[in-house]
Amino acid sequence: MKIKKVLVGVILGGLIGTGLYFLNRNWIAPAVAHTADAQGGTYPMAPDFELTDISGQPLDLKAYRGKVVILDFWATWCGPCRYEIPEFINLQKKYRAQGLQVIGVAIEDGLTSVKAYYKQMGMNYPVAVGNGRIAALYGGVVGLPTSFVIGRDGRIYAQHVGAEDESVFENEVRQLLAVGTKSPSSGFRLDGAGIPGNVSGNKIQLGNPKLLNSPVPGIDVSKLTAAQLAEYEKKLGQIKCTCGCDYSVLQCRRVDTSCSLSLQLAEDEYKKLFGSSPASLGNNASRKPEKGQRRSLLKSDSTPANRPAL
Amino acid sequence: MKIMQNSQERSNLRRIVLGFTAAALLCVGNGRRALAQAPHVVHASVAPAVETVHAGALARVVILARIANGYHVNAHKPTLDYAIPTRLVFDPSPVASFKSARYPAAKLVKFNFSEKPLAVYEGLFKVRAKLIIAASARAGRYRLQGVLRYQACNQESCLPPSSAPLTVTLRVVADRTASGSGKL
Repeated sequence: MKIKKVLVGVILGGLIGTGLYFLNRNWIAPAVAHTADAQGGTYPMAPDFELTDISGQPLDLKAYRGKVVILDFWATWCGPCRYEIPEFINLQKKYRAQGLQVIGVAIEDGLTSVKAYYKQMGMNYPVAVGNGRIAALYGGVVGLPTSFVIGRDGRIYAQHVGAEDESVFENEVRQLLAVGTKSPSSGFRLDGAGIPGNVSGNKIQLGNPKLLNSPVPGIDVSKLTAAQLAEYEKKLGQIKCTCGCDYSVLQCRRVDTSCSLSLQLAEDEYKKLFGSSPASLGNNASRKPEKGQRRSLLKSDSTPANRPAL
Repeated sequence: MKIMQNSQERSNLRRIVLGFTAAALLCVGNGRRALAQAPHVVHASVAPAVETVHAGALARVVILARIANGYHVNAHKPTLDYAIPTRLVFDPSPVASFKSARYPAAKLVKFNFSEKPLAVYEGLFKVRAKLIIAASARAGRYRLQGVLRYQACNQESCLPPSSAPLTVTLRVVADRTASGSGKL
């Protein structure tokens, strides 16, 4: 009797294991690959964003669909970024008529230094001061400069981290200008790019727009009713963020999407109010930074009290 | 016909189930990536581990900073006006206040992105700081928090301004036999 039970158990276990194997092989793995490709696994769509440029004009990435765009994340305090600016000015001048648009997103605390540098250099393309949400949308830009070369179809064809020579950008821009507004065939790759999409050899990884565009960036609030969301936002507006930013948790989430402390506080409050953990950016576990070790590209150490003297 | 219908149903079911699975997997991946944070390229430590000093005296500590290979930070007095300098900052404290800091001589290094050599620190460097212990400080052990502010780059790119946290431990003694301290 016992032997019979053991045998049945072994057979059942074997059947379940085999079933799981085939489920993964035939359904899950291909579907994941397909979804990744459909979402631009090789050439992802450039996430849209809207900003106001330093002259007060709206800067909407969507408005440049049909053009080849170089999207440059830079800062005035960054030497390698400054190295590239004359190159972009030159490329903008040379290829504007053919459909090139350079866009600068400055990683700064304020407008003053950006405006002064813009004027000093005679920059001939729109520049806006960025925020944490946009950096996160573009994969949590860390090293500066980071530039994305976007085709007329709105897809990102190359990412460059660090200063590049003008000839590298020019080569890519010329190839993309030659392609129409429809996405090129699947075999298309930029000449010179090591692996399609990224010259440094990795696939471009972007942020999660659904979570980053949430009213509480980083927290999925889609399950909340309007009243619950209002209550949640009100509460987060009353709690002071402990990261040293002098903002409420809500403000901190909106200004600095990469701040893990405000994310943790927002998750905790969600759980407290609604009884369950929200879907959010990243795992809750082991991401608390040490004191003073908060890292954020856009607002790092930018609190009034500890902002470095420029 | 039935076979086709079944096949269509299976296909739909497959899409729904796997759509959720794929979306969940992608969300997890992207979420982690969105939290990408700049690497901590400077680590600061303090010597001595405990500075014994009497109230009203001057404490001297050395901040030892270690920069990760391949990176440099701007010197305290950078050669370029736009560069963010390295700077030692202490939190306000009723027990001790920051008096001065002596930064090391900078190294002039030529980088690909700059025509002129830049004044930087690389590898290990020391900052010597003086702290004034309040005359009213009571005997006891105190911790003074501070940070070494820096902005690091490598040959090709830069990281955002950042801070290496540090803690100075002070043992304030009542009498004047304490070593390493001097009268103000």
